[in-house]
Amino acid sequence: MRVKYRKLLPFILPALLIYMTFIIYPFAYSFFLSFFSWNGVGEKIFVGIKNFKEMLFGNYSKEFFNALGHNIYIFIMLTIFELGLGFVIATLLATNIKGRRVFQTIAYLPNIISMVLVGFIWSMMLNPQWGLINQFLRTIGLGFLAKPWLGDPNTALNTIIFVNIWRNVGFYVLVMLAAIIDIPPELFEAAYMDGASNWKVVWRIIFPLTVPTFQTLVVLLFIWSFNIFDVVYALEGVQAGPFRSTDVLGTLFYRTAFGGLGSAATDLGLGAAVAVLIFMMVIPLSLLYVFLVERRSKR
Amino acid sequence: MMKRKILRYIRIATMWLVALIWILPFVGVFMTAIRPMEEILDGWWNFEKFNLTFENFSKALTHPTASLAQGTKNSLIVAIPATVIPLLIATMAGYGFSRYKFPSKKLTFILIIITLALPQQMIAVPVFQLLNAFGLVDRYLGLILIHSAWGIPWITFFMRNFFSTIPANIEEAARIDGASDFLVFFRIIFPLALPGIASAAALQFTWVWSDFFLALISVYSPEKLLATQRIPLMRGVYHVDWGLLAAGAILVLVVPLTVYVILQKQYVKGMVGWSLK
Repeated sequence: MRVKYRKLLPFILPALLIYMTFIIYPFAYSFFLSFFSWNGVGEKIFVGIKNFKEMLFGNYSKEFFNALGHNIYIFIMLTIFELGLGFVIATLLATNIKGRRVFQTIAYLPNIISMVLVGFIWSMMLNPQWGLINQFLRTIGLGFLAKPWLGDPNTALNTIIFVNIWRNVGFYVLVMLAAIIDIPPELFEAAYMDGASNWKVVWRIIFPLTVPTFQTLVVLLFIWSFNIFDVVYALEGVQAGPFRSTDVLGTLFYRTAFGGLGSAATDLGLGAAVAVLIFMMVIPLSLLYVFLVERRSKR
Repeated sequence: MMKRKILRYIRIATMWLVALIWILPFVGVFMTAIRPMEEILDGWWNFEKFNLTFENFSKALTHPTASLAQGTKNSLIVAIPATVIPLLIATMAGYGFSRYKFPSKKLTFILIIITLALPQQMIAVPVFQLLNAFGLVDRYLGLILIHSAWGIPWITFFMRNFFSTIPANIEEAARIDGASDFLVFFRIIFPLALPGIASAAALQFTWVWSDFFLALISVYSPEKLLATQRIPLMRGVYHVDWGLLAAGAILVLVVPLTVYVILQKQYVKGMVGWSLK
């Protein structure tokens, strides 16, 4: 059938207009900017690929790869814990335990609040003097473990990862649970009839049938892990302290583009180059996501 | 049989332990907000003395530099249109894509993926320049447009999928009677799409409400600041008033929480549809 552009256009035009102006144009402009040196007010100076060279091989390469390493580490940890925990909890919930709705609501609560509040809540919980975490450790006799969690380079990154898990696991539970509920109940009935144990049901039925969900969620997690910014910003600021131990590409971008206390460079071009590099790393996986979801909807 | 029962108890116990860990920070914030500071310093879980106070809430609502009464009002002024506008526009687009044969699925999807893969910070500078050029800096309309732009791609896709579950023959009859495309859309399609719209609205509203970054780059006059922007301002430079901050946090989170509780079913559907379909 012929495409009815004439009829389609009035419906999609407003959407297209806003989208092009506020997403695509700024996006393209960032690409353009990455080949210039510009402090935001003066003249833009064309520098070719110098910004990228500086980032990857020059003065900034140490910071860049330090941050990139943290992004990768975060991705791995979140995959194990958010997806893993999400799956375990969803499986537990799937068996119609009393209070399932209440539980789900509680687990999902952190996901609906603003990141600003997440930052505040946890800086309170982790307060070295009277925060609950250290007080609790002292009470149960593990006082030697009490420490300034966010102030110690050895624990800061893992603490941020923990806060992230607290915030997001509810989302994974919710999606996993939806996938499990989609499994035809006859499969479970048949399996139990044949005397299968719970364990077997989980590994032979639930797990294989939720693999497609896992795939898409891993890709989403990858995209989010490379774009991570606000949780680090809320808990450690743009300096990603202590000693850059929580630095990620998002905070590195912020410092290079907009500067920040103690950071010498404020070059929007250099910042744009970081953003382009992030985008380049994320886009192949994003296309894989398209492919996965596409394949799923065909079935 | 015995083993099964024990396993069941272990399962329930694990579940509630996780629930406890998950809710504890909220209890902490709540306690900090309703008790005087000197009691909090001994630990909010310490109940030897217990004095209830609502002073923190009134202080947060009428804070001299970061009043949350004003902040909540401002946030509503932004969040309501920033939910309604993209929903209307994107529902139309979703309908257009689903009804008029168009190799649209891949294309719209790729457009969504670009927004998904795009760090918000990346577009901050060009967006600020755009607002400047349109004379929209420090005006809510600018922020509403940016939020709409972020919402439109996923809502379009979400609604497109929703419409493909509504059989086209419902509209055919109206078409034959000579109704125009827009009439068909608003009279017949829109009401049918309300469940989907409710899901998308619940998500978009909470996201807009909780946003900090987009507000940061587009609104900066003290009296115009949104609720989320006011929380960091309440943090003093030399002295942190935790009770005040806690009360402020509760006031800010009560709105999305209410939306979530009321529209839980739609919310969950939206979330699942958003991520997997």
